[in-house]
Amino acid sequence: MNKKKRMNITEIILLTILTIYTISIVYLVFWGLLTSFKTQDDFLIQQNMFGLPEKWAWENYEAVFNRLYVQVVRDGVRYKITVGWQILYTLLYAGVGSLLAAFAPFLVAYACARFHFRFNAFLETLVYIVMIIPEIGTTTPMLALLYDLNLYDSILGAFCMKFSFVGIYFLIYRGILGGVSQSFSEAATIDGANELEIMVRINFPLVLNVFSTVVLIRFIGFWNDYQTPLLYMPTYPTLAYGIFNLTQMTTGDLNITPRKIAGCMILVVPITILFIMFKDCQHRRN
Amino acid sequence: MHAKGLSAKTKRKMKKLAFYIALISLPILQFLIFYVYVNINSFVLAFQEYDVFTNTAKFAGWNNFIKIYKDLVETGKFAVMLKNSLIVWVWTTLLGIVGAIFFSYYIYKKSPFSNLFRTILYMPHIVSSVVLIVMFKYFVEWAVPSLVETLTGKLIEGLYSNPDTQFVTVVFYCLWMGFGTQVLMYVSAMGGIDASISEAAKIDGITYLKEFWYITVPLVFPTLTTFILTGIGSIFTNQAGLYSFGGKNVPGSMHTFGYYMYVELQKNSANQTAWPMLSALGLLFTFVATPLTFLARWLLGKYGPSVE
Repeated sequence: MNKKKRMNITEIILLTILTIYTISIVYLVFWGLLTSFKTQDDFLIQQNMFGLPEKWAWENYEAVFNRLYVQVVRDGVRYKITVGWQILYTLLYAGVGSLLAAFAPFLVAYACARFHFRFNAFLETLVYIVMIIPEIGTTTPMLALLYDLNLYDSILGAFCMKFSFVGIYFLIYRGILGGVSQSFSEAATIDGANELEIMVRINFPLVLNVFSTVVLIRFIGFWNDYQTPLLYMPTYPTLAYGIFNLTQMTTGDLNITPRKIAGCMILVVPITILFIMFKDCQHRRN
Repeated sequence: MHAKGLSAKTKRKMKKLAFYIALISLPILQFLIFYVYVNINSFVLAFQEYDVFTNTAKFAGWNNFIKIYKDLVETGKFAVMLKNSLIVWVWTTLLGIVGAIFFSYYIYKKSPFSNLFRTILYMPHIVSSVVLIVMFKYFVEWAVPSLVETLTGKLIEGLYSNPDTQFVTVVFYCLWMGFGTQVLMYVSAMGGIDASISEAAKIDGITYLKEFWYITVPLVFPTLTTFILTGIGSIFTNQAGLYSFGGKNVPGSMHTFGYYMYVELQKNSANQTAWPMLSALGLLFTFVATPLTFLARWLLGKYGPSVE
């Protein structure tokens, strides 16, 4: 008896297209990785577009690490923000930003799930309405607001923007917390626990898995985001901002294709490792 | 005794209320400032103009909208941006959805290599768009012409530097990379479908395509609707990755509304005189996109597939 299911024609067509599609994505990254190790001579003059590097040019990475900087002017003083500082700003921006972005919806969702006040209905409706109405021209007034609050060109301003509870994560937390039995909390109340202890010690661990996933998703987004720092905190360049600047260079010794791609790889590798580690950790926990 | 009990209950309730307020007050304050105030200010700014000499803003009536008409509509820039934005939207949102829903169905049905496909499709989420765009740009710029030359002996220009193929290349990139995000969303939605429905249909002898059309699509239609609705606003916000492709120097013939708005604001981040017109433009787009979104929502609800 052959238990193997035979594929139908639609499946075969989809398999073919998906195979081509995924190969094209993987190949692009692989091509980028190989190119980042080539010398400009090997890549452009010898036209070695697809082969292995003639000589593995680790110096491309060294050059980006040591010589890439973003020049900024803060309070009339010129600063060269090196890769080390860019990484530090990124960790601050993405690390704290992702925690805030994951925590704000949790707080409101927890309040709605734990307490039965009439205001909950208003909050839940508000989230749905805000999600439906397209938000288009708010970048200009946001910039004006940051200037007014003296938060323009500061990481604190970016943090304030990220601390938003409205969005899909509120609905996710609300769904999970709504399904949590109140009996644990009631037992803790009898044992003398206050509301903060109930939230931190009993309910928060129940959503910890989801919370950490939201933190990771937001962290990846902020790590890769160069447009928000470029617009709202231009003198605190993150690594993505620095790499964007590198890709737009038209002069200097970093202005060669393999080095620009090497810079891109510096941005990709840490986040990919973090993602794999997180998936592995979650897999073990489950 | 009774009064004391009631007082304790009220006290507990007051404590709960205080904790409730403590939990929501900061997020609500953030919402009031960074959403409500910003949206109101967007409206106010659109009807103001800034005087650099007195360093004050004053009421400008419809001046900013007239300026938009003169600077963008009369010069033909608006028509170019509208055309480009609509092309990007049709290809990435509408056609992208069709392809993505088929791919998602393939993964959902656990067909061969579906887990591998799922993992690889997550890649555009992890890798920064600027990185993917840079690699893609250099690939079409250097590797593709080299490949064409090797295969046919013909010399061609890089696909991004050639004005004839430049925009097509960008649209292709948007469609190509856009699939991943959508596929993951639809696969999650399909994962929520009750397995017994599919099992029952199989016993009745339903085919692969019929199950897709009569069971899967109607059941994930709410997710599809969300994607289409949020996609309407993207007509006016989608930069099509242009800023990552060429920074501030992308030719005008390729501009989309999203790119134009971002570049203008980036250029004028310290120039308050330019803000009112940009705000007016944003307001204009919101006034077009909001009714369109609600109309689409109504149409999808009325004519979309029913779960029944």
